[in-house]
Amino acid sequence: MRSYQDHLELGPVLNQMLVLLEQERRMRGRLSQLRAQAFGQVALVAMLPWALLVILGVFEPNMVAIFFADYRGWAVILASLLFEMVGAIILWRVSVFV
Amino acid sequence: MFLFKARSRSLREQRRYRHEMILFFHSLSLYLVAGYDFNSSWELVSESLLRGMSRPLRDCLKISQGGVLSDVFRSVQVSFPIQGIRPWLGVLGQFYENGTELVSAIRQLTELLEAEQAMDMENHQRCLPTRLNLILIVFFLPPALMLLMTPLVLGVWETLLD
Repeated sequence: MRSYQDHLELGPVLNQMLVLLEQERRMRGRLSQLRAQAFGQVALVAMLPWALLVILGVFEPNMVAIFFADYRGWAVILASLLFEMVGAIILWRVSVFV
Repeated sequence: MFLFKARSRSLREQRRYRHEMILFFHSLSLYLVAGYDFNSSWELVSESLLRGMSRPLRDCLKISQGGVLSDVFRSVQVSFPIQGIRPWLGVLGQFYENGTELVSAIRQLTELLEAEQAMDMENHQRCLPTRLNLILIVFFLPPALMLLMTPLVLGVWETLLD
């Protein structure tokens, strides 16, 4: 824009900008792909305990009822949630590149 | 844990600084290619980019009130946040003082930084699966085990109490 306003030659600038934008796009693409892969895996593993709980609830409802019967069951559920949240935060921080 | 956090923060900072410097040098070389002289290019890039850059870099690259570009080059040689490129910035400063053509020197420096960044990124990509597995084992496996074992443990506990 400034080169245009100052009546300077734009061809080389545009050529160089094209290469730069392409480089930037490629780098960001690779990084976001990497992070998406990591988060896909983690989402799958994070859902595993809860899926197990649901399956257990279908086949053995009495075993799952224990969780909601007293404070110890609730404590286990809360501790599991807390663990997963801390893990997700750490994972987010570890996977950041820039 | 604290050491690990400090190390990873400093690694990320180095990468961010490097990324910002690559952008800075690219913009600088764009202005030079367009036909601006080095001083005006530096000022124009500072005007447009420095506001969005990290504070240590901004403080190093900004031309102070009434100062000249040579002062910036002198100060970056000793206090620039990316230690590895301090000597190269010194060389750039000498080129500037001698009035040598700077576009190719800036391109070389940018390529050096880009190569370093690419190497770092490959290293990051290589290490990420291991880190991911470690985090999965430490933070996501115990909840699964806890949810599976709790009914059994509570059942045994109740039986023992009876």
